[in-house]
Amino acid sequence: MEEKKVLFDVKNLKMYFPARGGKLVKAVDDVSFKIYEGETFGVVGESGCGKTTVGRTILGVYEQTSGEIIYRGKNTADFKAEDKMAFSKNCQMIFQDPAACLDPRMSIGTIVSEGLTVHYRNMSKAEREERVNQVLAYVGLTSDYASRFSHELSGGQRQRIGIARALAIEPGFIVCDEPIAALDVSIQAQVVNLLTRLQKELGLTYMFISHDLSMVRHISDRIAVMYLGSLVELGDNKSIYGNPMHPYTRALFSAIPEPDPYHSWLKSRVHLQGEIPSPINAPAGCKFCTRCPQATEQCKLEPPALREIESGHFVACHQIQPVNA
Amino acid sequence: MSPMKTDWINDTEGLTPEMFVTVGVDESKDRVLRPHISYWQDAFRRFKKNKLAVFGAILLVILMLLVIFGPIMAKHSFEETNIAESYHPMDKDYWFGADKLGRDYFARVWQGGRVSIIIGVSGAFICAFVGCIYGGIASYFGGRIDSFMMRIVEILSSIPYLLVVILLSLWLDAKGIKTLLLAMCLTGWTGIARLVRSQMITLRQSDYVLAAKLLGVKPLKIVTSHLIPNTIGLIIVNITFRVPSLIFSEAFLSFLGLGIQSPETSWGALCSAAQTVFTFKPHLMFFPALCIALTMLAFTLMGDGLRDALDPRQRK
Amino acid sequence: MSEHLLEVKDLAVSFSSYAGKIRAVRGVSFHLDAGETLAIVGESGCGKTVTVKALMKLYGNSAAFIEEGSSILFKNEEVVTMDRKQLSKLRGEGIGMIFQDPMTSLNPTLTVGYQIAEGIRFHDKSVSKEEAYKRAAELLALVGIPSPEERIKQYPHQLSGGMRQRVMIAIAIACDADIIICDEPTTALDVTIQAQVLELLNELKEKTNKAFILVTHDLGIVFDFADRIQVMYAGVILERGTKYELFDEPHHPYTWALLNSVPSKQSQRKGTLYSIQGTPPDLMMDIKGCPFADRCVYCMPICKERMPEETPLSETHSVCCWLEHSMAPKVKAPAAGGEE
Repeated sequence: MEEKKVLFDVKNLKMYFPARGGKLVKAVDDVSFKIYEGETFGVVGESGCGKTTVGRTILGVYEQTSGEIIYRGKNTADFKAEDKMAFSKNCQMIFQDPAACLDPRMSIGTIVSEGLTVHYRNMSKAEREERVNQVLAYVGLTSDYASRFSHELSGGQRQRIGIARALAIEPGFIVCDEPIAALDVSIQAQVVNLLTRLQKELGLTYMFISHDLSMVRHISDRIAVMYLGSLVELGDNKSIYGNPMHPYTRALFSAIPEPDPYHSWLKSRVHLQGEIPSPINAPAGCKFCTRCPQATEQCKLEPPALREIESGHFVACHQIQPVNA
Repeated sequence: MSPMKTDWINDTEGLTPEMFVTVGVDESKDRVLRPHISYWQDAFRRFKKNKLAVFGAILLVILMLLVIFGPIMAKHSFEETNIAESYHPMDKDYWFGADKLGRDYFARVWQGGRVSIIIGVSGAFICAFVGCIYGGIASYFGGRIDSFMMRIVEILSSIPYLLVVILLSLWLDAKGIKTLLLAMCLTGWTGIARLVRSQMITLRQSDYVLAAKLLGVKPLKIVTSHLIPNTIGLIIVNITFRVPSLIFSEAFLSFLGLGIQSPETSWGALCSAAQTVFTFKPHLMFFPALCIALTMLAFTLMGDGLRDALDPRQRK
Repeated sequence: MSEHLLEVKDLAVSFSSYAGKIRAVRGVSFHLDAGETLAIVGESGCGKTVTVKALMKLYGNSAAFIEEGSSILFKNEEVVTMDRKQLSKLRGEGIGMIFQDPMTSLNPTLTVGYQIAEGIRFHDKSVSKEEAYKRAAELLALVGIPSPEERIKQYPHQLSGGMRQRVMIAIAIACDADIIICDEPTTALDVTIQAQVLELLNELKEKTNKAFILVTHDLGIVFDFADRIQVMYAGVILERGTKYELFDEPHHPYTWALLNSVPSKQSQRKGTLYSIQGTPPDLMMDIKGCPFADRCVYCMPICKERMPEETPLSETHSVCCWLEHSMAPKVKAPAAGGEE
């Protein structure tokens, strides 16, 4: 088998935020995973499950409460100034709200070249302009856009500018944080097509964070399912969607609306009782035990570890035993 | 379902086969965008749409011209006393009449206007300048520094400014433009400091600032390229609202006798002098009072228009 | 006279804005019978929400108005000309509405019990306060809220998103309205909660003989809930039919695009999704031909000149497209699942 190069190795990542009354919001609670070069790593979960926080923490937006983030074999905590620069040149992000992620007072050209002024300081003005036009062409826009302002653009065009800004400094890794959630259906397909095309052409690695399960299935190579700050299941696309094991994953996937009048997904879905508890008062054991139909005493007391059930397919559930055990 | 023409599909009248050639999507169509206008052009366009604001601006220009050229146009200097002409009625020589000491009232009104407007405008700019720097520093450093600086603001803004003025004029032993300005600006910048701080804190959490951080842009560059340009509109609006309130404060203080002293004058001082003879010489009160009212109205209308024009949330 | 519960004819709604008139809905006709569910599908800004709000003349303080020549017959009564008193009777007793965001449509300072009871007592003055609260608790039980006796004393912020949407549903059905309009009822909810709410709506549909109008952009939830579907774009209806007809033989290129731009279980992974170029037209402009022409891969010169007429394909299925014309080239719908 071909040896895949590990880009990110995240170990026991915890990210707690202080809340009122001295309590802690455990947005991310002991999460470990690896991201390989050239792949699309999908992260799915419902709102409040910590998927956005994971993405932001590995990019260094927040300083993690504990745990290690190893980038290309080097711990991000030990980064020196030049490592930080190299990291920010290589790891970029695309945002959910295309209107909020562009400065309304800057022209598109200035927005796209913002990173160039940091990472390509020797570039002449003409070279910079050329690079901006080149990147705009990548995302399917003409060079006339450079003099425009974001309020003159539509949502889909703005999202492409967000992508162009990230691409301008030639990163290798991009966190896509709900890049299509704010867009219309017909525009979503445009943006997803663009992302897949760019990945093929430029060999990018994506972390694709979304609550849109069918889009994640479409675009991802490996998928992590999160629930209330914890990773419940991790594996490649085929095993996660073809053979979901964790009770939560099963319920979640069966709730994906399928546009098909002959087959009612609503009737055949796995029923889940109750609602997601608040991350301030998360259950002590398995986070899912309050809603899990198979929960036992053990689940309530002891948090399950993520174990490899099949090759490359990890599940955090006390009730599921490894196949060869 | 309502009955419909089913033979429509066979109706070929006026139709030619060329009309039914697939041409597909014209790619260049995607380029047609909303009209190309910059932020300031757009703001100006919106401002022009607001008739009241334009009226305010025109009124302000007229008042400004009068304040600048009024004292020159008058036949007599504003300081020139002439006891023989005491309470001279309004005629072609003395357009607004004369006061008790026989000084030309037309010249005095516009000279007073100069003082009032200078105090209002320069006071507003000083307050904005100090407030921006203070609020900017507080929001930039955040944490303890921020809360310490904000506590100072709270203490300052809880001191009644009348008290400050009285104490200052006693302490400096001077009543005049400088004392007034100092007194009003000593506590006046706190409002804008708070405003700038909260705006900057909101902006710092915005996605585009996060994007800039992730691109490796230096903090100071973020301040100059993102935070300040996005706060400027707010500051301009605040200044326009600040000017009339300062003019009014000055008038109020002068009215109480704490402000400008004769022979220098201001609208408030004129009103103050006129109140003793108000019953039989009402026009002496009327002109400065009207000027105060019109100036305040002009600034307020214009400020309203600017606020609507510069607020990016109002854009479509 | 109309034999339908609701009959809308040539409905046109416009907004006046400082920059000019925005023609949000440009002549829409449809009908609804008791017990059936109609879905209006389209992207944001296509006029679907404006259309259903017009059914109750519900605009709040926005500058919207119904253009002349529009007609909305509810039980043979003209809604367009109704006065304030008739309208307040219509809203609630005739037509109930469930909004997208339950947090902004519930009053945060009042208990949910009060808000339900208020509606009941507003429409039926003879009901006593105690009785109204009792009914409110029953309604909460009906919409699947556990321990309703306690919940009626709680405020909206004490409930989760899914619970709030259930409360909204309870309010909508409190006065036994004949039509329930669901405006993007699950857009703000997570998938598992969305399924629960849809299931509840389905249950209500089966238990009662109410008519439902579902407004949504999500084709996934449409097929499980609606009987008939109409596809709206830029203020006009491009295609309508039963859910089977639209799924099996969609005729309009826009419907094809909508159906195929969502990846399905069968679609090729990382393949190219069927996508539509460009963006919807500016509703401030006059649109001469078909509003979709600029983005349509099958566009012909005639499309930009004249609006095609509605062509019936069956009793229930009809489409507005020049491709139906005898002189047009024969085009096959693209296969679902995208192309590589």
